[in-house]
Amino acid sequence: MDTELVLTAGAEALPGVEVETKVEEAFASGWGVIVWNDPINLMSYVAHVFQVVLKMSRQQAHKHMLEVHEKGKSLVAMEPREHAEHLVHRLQRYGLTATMEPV
Amino acid sequence: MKCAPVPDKPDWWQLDWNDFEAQMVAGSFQRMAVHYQLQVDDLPPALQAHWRGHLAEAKDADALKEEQHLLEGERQAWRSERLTLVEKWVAAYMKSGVGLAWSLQLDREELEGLLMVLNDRRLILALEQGIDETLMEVDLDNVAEIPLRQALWEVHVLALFQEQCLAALTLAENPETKKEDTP
Repeated sequence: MDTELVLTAGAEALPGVEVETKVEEAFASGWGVIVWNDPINLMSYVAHVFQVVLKMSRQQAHKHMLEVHEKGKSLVAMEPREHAEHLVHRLQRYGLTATMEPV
Repeated sequence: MKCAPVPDKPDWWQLDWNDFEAQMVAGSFQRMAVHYQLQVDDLPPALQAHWRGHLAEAKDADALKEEQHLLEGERQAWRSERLTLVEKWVAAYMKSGVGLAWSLQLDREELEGLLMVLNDRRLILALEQGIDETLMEVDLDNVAEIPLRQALWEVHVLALFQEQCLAALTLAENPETKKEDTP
């Protein structure tokens, strides 16, 4: 009974739009993983990390690495939020500048 | 510096440095051991920002506050893991004889760790000395400021070590590469 009261109170406290946004966010499957250019990471190292972390082929990794180098960034994966976060962690572990954003 | 697969030991790699290279890379490891032990809060602002990392650009950061906190915790853990590695390598170097050529045999996971540590050292030098794309291209003879010149030199030499390891990995995974790349 107590629990039900708390839940009801909690739900009423949230404005409808905010709840909708949170639900949308929770189920959103479109999070992009972006790798950004920087002056220090070697091109060969970036391609290597793409192969290890993102399981890209050598050719795919090379293509994305060139995109990072020439255009300043590359969208390297589109994943549900939690997996995108996991990939960003793994890319950053190698020292790459990686972020995620809803797409 | 040479990096090659260890015969009859699948996915193990041998790294060989001559006496001069060994002294240099062990020095880099030693400095990273000191760096990894420092509290992030005590580092200069640029290095603090580096070690905290960021998960998203400012426009999306609010939606990922909790996740950002998790990332910061994980980045701290990487520093501890890498400290263990560099301490082990420095001890091995000391044992093999300071000032002599040096070899290390690493499994694949540790080789990836070595690539990350070399990269950390390069990134940190760049942050400390404000090394940007222009400075990366500059002729070292034209750099008057000695700490900057030394940092650039170390950044480039460690890059060569990284390249050697990456070339060895590529060759092992794509044996046809040798034929393609040999004139």
